[in-house]
Amino acid sequence: MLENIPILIVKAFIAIVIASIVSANISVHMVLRGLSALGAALAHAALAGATIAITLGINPLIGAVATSILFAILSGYSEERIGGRSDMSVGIIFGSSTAIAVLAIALSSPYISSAWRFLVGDVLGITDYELIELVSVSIIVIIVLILFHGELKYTLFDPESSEAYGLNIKFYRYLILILASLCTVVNLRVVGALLTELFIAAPAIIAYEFAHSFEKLRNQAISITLISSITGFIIAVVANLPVSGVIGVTMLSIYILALLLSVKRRRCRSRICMRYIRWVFRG
Amino acid sequence: MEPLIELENVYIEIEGVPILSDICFTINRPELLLVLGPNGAGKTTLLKLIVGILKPSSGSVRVLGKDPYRDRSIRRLIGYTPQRERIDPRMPMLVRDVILMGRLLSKTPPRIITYEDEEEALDIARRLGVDKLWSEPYSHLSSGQQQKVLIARALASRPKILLLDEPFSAIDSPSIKDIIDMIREEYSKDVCIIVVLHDATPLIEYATKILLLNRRLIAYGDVEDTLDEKLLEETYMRPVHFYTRNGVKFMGGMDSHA
Ligand SMILES: Nc1ncnc2c1ncn2[C@@H]1O[C@H](COP(=O)(O)OP(=O)(O)OP(=O)(O)O)[C@@H](O)[C@H]1O
Ligand SMILES: [Mg+2]
Repeated sequence: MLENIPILIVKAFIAIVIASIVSANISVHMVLRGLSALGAALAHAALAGATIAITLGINPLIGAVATSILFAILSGYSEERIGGRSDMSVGIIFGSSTAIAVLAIALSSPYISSAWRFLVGDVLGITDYELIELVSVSIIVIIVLILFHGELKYTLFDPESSEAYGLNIKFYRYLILILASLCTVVNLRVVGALLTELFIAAPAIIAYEFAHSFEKLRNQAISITLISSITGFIIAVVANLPVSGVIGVTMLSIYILALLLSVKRRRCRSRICMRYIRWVFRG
Repeated sequence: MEPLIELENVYIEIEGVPILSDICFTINRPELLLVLGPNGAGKTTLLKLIVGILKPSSGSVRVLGKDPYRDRSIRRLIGYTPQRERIDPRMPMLVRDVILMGRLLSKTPPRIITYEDEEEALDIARRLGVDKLWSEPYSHLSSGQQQKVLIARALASRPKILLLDEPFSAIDSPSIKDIIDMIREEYSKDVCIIVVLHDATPLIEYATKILLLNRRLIAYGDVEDTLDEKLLEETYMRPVHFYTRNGVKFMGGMDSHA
């Protein structure tokens, strides 16, 4: 029966699995560093870059990588300047990158359908070339995460002592920002800019309700993302609905379920999650 | 031989505010040094200068002849235990992870934990009586247990110099005793130990040197010379007394409530 599955569904499935694994890994770092809101800003920056690239006739991946990394570094830098207030830099990055994206989409009117693909994702329309790009970027991100696993984990847990052991904590902060940008670009192809935010924040926020160690948090975030994206994908294909939308709704349902079942929430209200909920409802 | 630690005319200001000035002292061989001073005296700042997290605005800091701010590799020889309150307890970390942090980060890249590392770290945990907590989340521990885990982490990096910042705050006497035993054992193995305290009582009989600090160096030297009531009053800006009860020396008066 396997040979009856159309090739575009197989390709889409591979893309979704890979994007889920990368996003779950990145989400752990972003959420624990209090950067979950930055995901949306980076996604809009990547969208702006991709759209500009399309208009100029360059590979959109290059445009997306360039702008999201640029904005990630800008946000790291302005956070340093403002003194550790990431919400302020996120606000600025978010506003300016959305403005650029809107302008770029307007200017790229002949290519509006390509721009639209990046906004809501078009995983079923992914080309072989795009899949190869996506897989390569993901492999790079995963390898870097494995190589620097201990350093990234410990600079997060106790930056002062990590510095006392001679680690350059600035380096690791920018490293994670750059990896998050690459992750955003991967997601742009799969779920689109509008849902990237959810992918970069939700997995770890859900897993945080249950996990007490970093590795458990990461593994559970990966499982949660895989479960919700594969379930969402199957439902979407069977019911002929937009893939990214169904995945988003599946993940949201899992999040609500997690809140109801949470172990930690009964003991102490985790401020990380509360902050996120407040952020969502404010927007 | 090169001095272990050498500070020369160290002056540091943070955001334009002078924090420490005129700090000059040398540690030539392993000592058990107590750094005493009231809240806000700059004790933590002094430790951060030694470990190279902060850079002096002028003057020089040398650890084994090297500048720890510039030469990051020298920092691996220092085990630093920050004030416990400085760590965010919401981070999902197991006790095992916290202790192995010392082992992992004292290596050169690529940093990989071996079976031997894990055994050694577990052994240190056993000496401090926290081996039973090995797989517990760090955030579930009591303050005394957390403190011991942080000390175990510092020891897991096999330091030549051990810096402890207020290791006894909010800790009951059995735990204090465990920590003191460990400090004495390490000192007997020629580790140079610097303990920041605002009340010297727990370690007064074992200390080999005392440093009195309040925004400047008030005194540095042997215990008998520095524990002078006049110098202490200058440090704490209120009368401090010593008294002996059942053969144990106490220090009193540094806190307003004491
Ligand atoms: N990053 C900083 N920015 C501004 N001021 C600082 C900073 N770090 C320390 N200070 C100031 O330097 C002074 C000394 O601080 P430090 O933490 O070294 O004191 P301490 O002796 O360790 O005090 P405590 O007993 O309360 O721990 C304090 O007045 C503090 O306000
Ligand atoms: Mg202090």
